[in-house]
Amino acid sequence: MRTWFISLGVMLHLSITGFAATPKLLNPKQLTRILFIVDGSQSMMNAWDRSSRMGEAKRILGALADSLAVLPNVEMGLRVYGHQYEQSLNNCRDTKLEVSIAKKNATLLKKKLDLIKPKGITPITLTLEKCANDFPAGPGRNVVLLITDGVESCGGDPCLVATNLQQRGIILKPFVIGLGVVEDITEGLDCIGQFKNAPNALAFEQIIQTIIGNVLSQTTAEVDLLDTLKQATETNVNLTFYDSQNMLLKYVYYHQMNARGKPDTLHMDPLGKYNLTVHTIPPAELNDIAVYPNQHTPITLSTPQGSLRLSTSSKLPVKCLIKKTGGLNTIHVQNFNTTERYITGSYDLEVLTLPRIQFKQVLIKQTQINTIQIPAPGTLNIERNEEGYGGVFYMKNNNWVKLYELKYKVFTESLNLQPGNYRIIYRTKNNHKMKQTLVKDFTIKSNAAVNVVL
Amino acid sequence: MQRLLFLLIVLISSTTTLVAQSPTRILFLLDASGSMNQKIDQESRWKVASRLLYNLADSLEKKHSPVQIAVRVFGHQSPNATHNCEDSKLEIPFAKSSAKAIQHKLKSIHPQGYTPIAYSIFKAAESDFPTDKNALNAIVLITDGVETCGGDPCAATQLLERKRISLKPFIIGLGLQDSFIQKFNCVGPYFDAKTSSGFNLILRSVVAQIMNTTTLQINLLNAAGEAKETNIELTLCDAYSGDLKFAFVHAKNEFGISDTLRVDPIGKYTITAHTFPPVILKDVVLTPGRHNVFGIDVPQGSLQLTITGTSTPMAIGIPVSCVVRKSNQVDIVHVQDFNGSNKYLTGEYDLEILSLPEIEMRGVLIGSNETKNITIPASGNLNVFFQTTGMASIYTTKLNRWQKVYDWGNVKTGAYELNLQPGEYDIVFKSSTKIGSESTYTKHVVMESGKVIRVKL
Repeated sequence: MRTWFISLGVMLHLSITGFAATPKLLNPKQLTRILFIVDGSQSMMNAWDRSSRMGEAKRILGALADSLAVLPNVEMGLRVYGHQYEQSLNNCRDTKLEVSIAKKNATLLKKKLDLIKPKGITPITLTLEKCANDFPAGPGRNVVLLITDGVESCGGDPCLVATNLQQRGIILKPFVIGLGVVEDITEGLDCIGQFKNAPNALAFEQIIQTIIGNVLSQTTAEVDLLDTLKQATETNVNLTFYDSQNMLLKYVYYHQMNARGKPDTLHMDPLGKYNLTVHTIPPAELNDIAVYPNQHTPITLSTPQGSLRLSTSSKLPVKCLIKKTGGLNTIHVQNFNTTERYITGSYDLEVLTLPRIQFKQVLIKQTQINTIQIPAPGTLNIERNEEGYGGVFYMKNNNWVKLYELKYKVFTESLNLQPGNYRIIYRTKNNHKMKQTLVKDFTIKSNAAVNVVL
Repeated sequence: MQRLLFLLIVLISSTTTLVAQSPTRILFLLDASGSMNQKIDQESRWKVASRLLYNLADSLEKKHSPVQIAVRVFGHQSPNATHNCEDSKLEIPFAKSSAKAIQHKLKSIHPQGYTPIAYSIFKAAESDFPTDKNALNAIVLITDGVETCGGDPCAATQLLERKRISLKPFIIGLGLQDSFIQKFNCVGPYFDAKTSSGFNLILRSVVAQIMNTTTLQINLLNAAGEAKETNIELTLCDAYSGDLKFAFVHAKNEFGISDTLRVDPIGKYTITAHTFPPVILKDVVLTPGRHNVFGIDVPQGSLQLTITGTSTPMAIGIPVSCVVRKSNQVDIVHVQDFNGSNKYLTGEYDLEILSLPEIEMRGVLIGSNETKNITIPASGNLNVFFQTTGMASIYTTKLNRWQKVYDWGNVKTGAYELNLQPGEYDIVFKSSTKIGSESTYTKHVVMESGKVIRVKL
């Protein structure tokens, strides 16, 4: 799979005439929508290289549109600003979606490009706001490519709008290409997205090729889950990747080893950064992971794991609360007679039997199975023939602890109790003297029943 | 219960140990140090003490009282100059005591030596009382001075308490200075006798106090501090050994007053009211021969746990537990099952409901005499059929991130069932017949209360 990159790299060395070469998309299902936003303000008429800035933009974008048109899962659209009203009118609402985002619209797009006569001002902020509605709903990656020779001239904050659109998951981080923008104003464009300034037409051509190449490429990564020896041997755990900009879910992969025993190669969109959750117990997380086009990225997390086996001869369901030693929160609830993997370390267990059983500082070691065994419970049957008050007690750390409160009106009760010595303290409702309290001691053995008549 | 159980019927015996107040034994520790030759009311301290002790023994004998008397004397065998700090002897043991024997023996004794009080208490604890667990043992120390042998009477007293040998010693001081009196604070209640008639009065009242029954009344107080709560189990344990001395379910008499108990006043108690969580009164010391009243704050409210809606047939009979903790604390107070009600002390609790996924509720306030209702919806039943072997797990989304709800681990071909709370979930399945992580398959499911959702993967 990795050899693919080399060929993609070669293919992306496109000349203008060579745009027809088709970059092979790795995930053919993934739809990419590209909205070209082109500056139609008056300054675009300024001479640049062989013609004007607008002239060069028309030529280069036109060729690009032709080559993108043949790709199966790419849609294009065109929005232009500053092209409808004269500069002197100072129209800050001069922005228009000239070509809706759709398939097979290269001809229309070129025709509309040709018709643009730059004349107005530069309302970038409003343009970005409007472009939110330019993208059809449905799954896909929405890419904004802004081509401009100036900064916002209507007093808006394009950076705020761009960030907001990303956070709402509407667009990916925009690409901004400056056409001969003077150095001291580039800051106003830099914050909108990935900004590159083209001093001449040739540079513009190269920049736009690289961007489109990156947009349409996927890159690869592998997730190296390290054991205690820092070897990437941990696997068979689910991974979820999120766009770190807006926390939208991007990929769900069960981590696997390939036939060579190495972590499997994962294809990823190089646009954007990722947050990753490895669904171990407790989960491991890594944020702001950058992957780069045409470059295999190893993502490394330390997730050394061992196993905890909870075992009892009883078939009754028993739950066990698991906490990190010294921690306040339950990180997992494991059922008895199961084995689960945990990140290595020290855990405190509390088994919800009657009485509860605590195991402190249970060590989970790399690859090893730590087995915790508890005896099967016995059964206590309590019978009585009138209402009363009392409970079942046991001795813990030299104190009598109430385990179970007898139900006032239930005359037959049955409890599963761990083997041990117990005591019932009980007084019927009609005995009004404390010394009429009945105290009964009994011993519970595994898999045996004790009947107590009160 | 379907399993064959070895049926064991246990013979059960009542172990309640209410105190029978018999017999009562009083050991007098009598000072015969040199200073006891000094006079009060024209008579030597020693003679006054001897005479009054004889009178006491005589009158007890004539009344056929169940009280037995013994006398240990210290400082009488070696002169002051010999500095004998082990000069202490049980002159009249319990078995042989009689008024005549006391009179005769004390007449033959001449005060002369040191004041080894701690040593005498230790000796008394060691061997003077017959080993009879039902007896009420008391020590009365009659002295005109403080410890002169460097011993620690307080430590000696603690030993008495720890081993439940006797009550804290009563001290009758004969003309002691105020600064000395303070040294007896830790030993026991102190009485000062300045005249021989005063001495007689004090002696009689101390003995009466020892002989009177000691009673205990425990008031269980509600949030308003009123003794209105009842029917709570109480245990009284020895504060040192932890041995259970008494176990009761609290009761009130027909007037609504907490029932009174006759109890052994010796030693220190730990009283526990077995609410959830328990309320523990530590180091409870009873005043012998008195009615002792203790209040324990047990303001309570109820927590009612209810599952609403209809459960699927698969979920019926599978209890959902709720782990109850005091807010922000690690220790579990109780594990309460749905559906049901349980009383708790008033306050804030954190609930951890062990449904799938778990439901956490923090800072749940249980007010006095209130019922706090906590309801959760009935689960739905997810029935997943895996068409191939593989790995599978299921997730819920919390704060934009997936959280694992359940891990099937390696699955076989076939159906797997899970009871899940209503909500949206994502099942993740990696079939073992497909190669590579990218063949991971996800399936979004929406669970509803009481509904069965079937998924084929």
